[in-house]
Amino acid sequence: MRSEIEPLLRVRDLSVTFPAAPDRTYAVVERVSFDVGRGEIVGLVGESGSGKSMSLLSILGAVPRPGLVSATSLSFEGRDLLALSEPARRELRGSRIALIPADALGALDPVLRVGEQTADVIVDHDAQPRRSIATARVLEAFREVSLPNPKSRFRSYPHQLSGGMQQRVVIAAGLLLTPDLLLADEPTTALDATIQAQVLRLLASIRETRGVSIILVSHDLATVAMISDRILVMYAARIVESGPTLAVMSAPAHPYTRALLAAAPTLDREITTTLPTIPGAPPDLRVSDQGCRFRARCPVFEFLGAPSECVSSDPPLRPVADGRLAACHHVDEGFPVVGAGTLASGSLP
Amino acid sequence: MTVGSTSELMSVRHLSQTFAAPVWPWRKSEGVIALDDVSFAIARGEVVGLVGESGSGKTTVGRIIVRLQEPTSGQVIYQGRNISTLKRSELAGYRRAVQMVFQNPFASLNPRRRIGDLVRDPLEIHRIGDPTTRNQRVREMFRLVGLADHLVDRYPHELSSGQRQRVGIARSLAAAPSLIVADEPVSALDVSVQAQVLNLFVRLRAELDLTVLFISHDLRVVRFLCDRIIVLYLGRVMEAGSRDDLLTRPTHPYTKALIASVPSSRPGEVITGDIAQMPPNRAGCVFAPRCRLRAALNDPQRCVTERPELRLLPDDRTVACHFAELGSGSDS
Repeated sequence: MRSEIEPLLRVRDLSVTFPAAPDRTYAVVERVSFDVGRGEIVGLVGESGSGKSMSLLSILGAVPRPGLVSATSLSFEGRDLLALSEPARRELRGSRIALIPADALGALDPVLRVGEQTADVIVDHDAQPRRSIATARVLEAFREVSLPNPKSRFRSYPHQLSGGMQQRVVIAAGLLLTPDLLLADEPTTALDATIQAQVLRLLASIRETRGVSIILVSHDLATVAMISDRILVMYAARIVESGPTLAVMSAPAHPYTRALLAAAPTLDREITTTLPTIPGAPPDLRVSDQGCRFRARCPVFEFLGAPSECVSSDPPLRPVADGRLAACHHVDEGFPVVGAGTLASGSLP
Repeated sequence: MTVGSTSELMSVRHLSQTFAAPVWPWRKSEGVIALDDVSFAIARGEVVGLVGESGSGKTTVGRIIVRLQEPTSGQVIYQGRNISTLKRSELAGYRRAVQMVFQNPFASLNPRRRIGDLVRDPLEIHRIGDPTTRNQRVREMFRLVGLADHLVDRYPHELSSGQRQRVGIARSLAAAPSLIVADEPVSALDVSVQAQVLNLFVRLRAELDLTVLFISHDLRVVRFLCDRIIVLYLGRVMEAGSRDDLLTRPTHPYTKALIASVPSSRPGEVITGDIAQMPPNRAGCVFAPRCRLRAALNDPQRCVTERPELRLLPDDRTVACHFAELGSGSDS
C-alpha cells in the first residue's frame, strides 16, 4: 500500500453497525481498510449482503438510520470525512465525490426533461448560476459521455431514453462538477451485454481524460476486472482479499475468491459438466462469531479437518505474493480448492 | 435446420408478433415488431439457448410457446401438431407437458401461500393422483431440486433467493412436463447461488431426460448449459448453431459483437465492438446500423435494401447475413 503520498481516499478500519437488540449491535461493514489513489480504478466485488454498497454509502455519508459509521481514518484529500459538518459534507457530495447509481431510471426525475434536471446539478451547487451556462455545460457533458444527438436528448424525458442512454445521462450528471472520485454502484448491471461493455469503456476513458478516481462496485468479478487496476473482494462485511487485478484474477489467494471465480461460467475455460459451487449460504451477521466468517463454506477448512485457529480467530488481512493481501490463516499453504472440480487459478489462456 | 426430423419435439414456424402501442414516441406508430418471422426446432432431450438483448423478442418467443400469448402470425408445432388448433381438452394436456420457469422467483410465487402448496398446485390443476400421492410427489420434487422436507410449510419470503428459484423449478417439474421453457432463471441470483441452480439444471436434465428452451442474455451461462444456441436480435434470428461452432467460430457480426462484449476473465483485454443505438431498418438487415462488417465493406447497399434470410452454412449452422463468409477469422 502506498504510504509516501497521501492517497485521494484513505479508509482505515471502517465499520458500519446496526442495532440487533437494545444492548447489542452487529456490523454490516467490519474493519474495512483500503486506499484509492488519484486516477485509480478500484473494483469492489462481493455478493448480496457482503457490505459493498454500505461501504460506498459510508464514504458519501449516506448510511441510513440507525446505522453508525466508525473508522480510525476516513479521509478524502486529507480531510476527515467523519469530522465534517453536514453542510460541508453536502458540499463535497456531487462536486468532489459523485455517485453513479445502478438504477439510472430510478435516479432520474420522470417528470423533468433530462437536460433540465442535469443542469439543476450545476444550479444547486453554484452560487450564481446562469441557465445558459448550465445548459452549455450539460451539452458538453452529454457529448463527453457519447450520448447520441445531445441537443434533442436534452429535451427528452427519462422514459424516452434507452437504458444505456439513461445510464450515460446519469454519468454525465455525475461528471458535471468535475469530481475527483466517482462511486459507481453496479453501473452496468441493468444494461444489456453490448451496452454494458460500452459503459465500462466509457468509465475507463473518463479516467484517462480526466484523471478521475473510480470505485467500481459489482457482484461480477469478470466485469470489474475489465477496467480496474486493483480489486477488493468482500465477504460477510469484510475485505477478504485485495490486490492488483491481474494477480487476483490469475492466482486468487483467498479460498472465497477462488471459489467465486470457479463458480462463474466463462467463455474461455474448459466446459465442465458441473460448476464448482460454494456450499451453504453466507453467515447471519447478527450472530457473533470469533472465527473466520467463511469457514462453514471453506474447502480448505474442511480439507484440514477444521483447524482450531479458523474457529477461534478472525484472520486479519496480511500480505501474500504479488502485492496482495488476503485474510486467511492458511493462505500460504497453497491448498487447491478441494472437491471443487477445476481450480480457478488458470484463467489466463 | 432439423425441422420435420423424427426427433423433433417442438418447433416454431414463421412466428411474428406485433404490438400496437408505440414504445418509441419519435418513431411512426406502425406498431412495434417484437418478432419477425422466427423459426427454429428443438429436438427431444436437447437444451437450446435462446440468446439476445432486451427487445430481441426472446421472452416473447417463450410466452408464445407456453401460450401465454397468441402470435400475430406463425405456428407452434408440438409433437407434430399445431397448438393453436388443439381442442380445449388437448390444450390442458399441452399446458401440462410444457412448463415455464420464470426469472424472478420473488414475483412468480404467491407470497401468501406455503411453498408445499405452490409445488402441489400443478398436480391439482391437472388432476394428477390423489391427495396421498400428491403429497408424495411434492416430497419427491423437494428432494429432486434439493429443498429440505421441513420447508414445505414455509412461505416464499422465508426462503433465500436460491431456494425460491428451486421452488419455481420444482413447481414446473411437478406435473412431469416434457419441455421446460426457462426465462432467465439464474439472472437474478448471486454467482455462488447461480452455480448451484445451473448444476441443478444439469442434473435434472440427466435424470429426467428434460428438453429445455433456456432463455438468457448471458452467453457464459448458455455456454455452460446448452447444446445449441439461437441468437436473436430485434425479433429476428441472426445465427443458430451448435454451442461450439457458434461460440468459437461465430459468423454473424452480431454474434461476434455479443461475444466480444462478454466480460472476459482475461484481465486487461480491450473491448471490441463499438456499437451505437439506432433504429432498425426492416427492409434490410436489422443489425445493419450497428454492424462493423458492413462498415468495413463500405456500406454495401444490399444490407439496407434486401433482408438477409437465414441460410445454411456447410458446418450445419444457419446465419442471416449476406456477407457472413467475408467476415471470417477473428472479429473485425
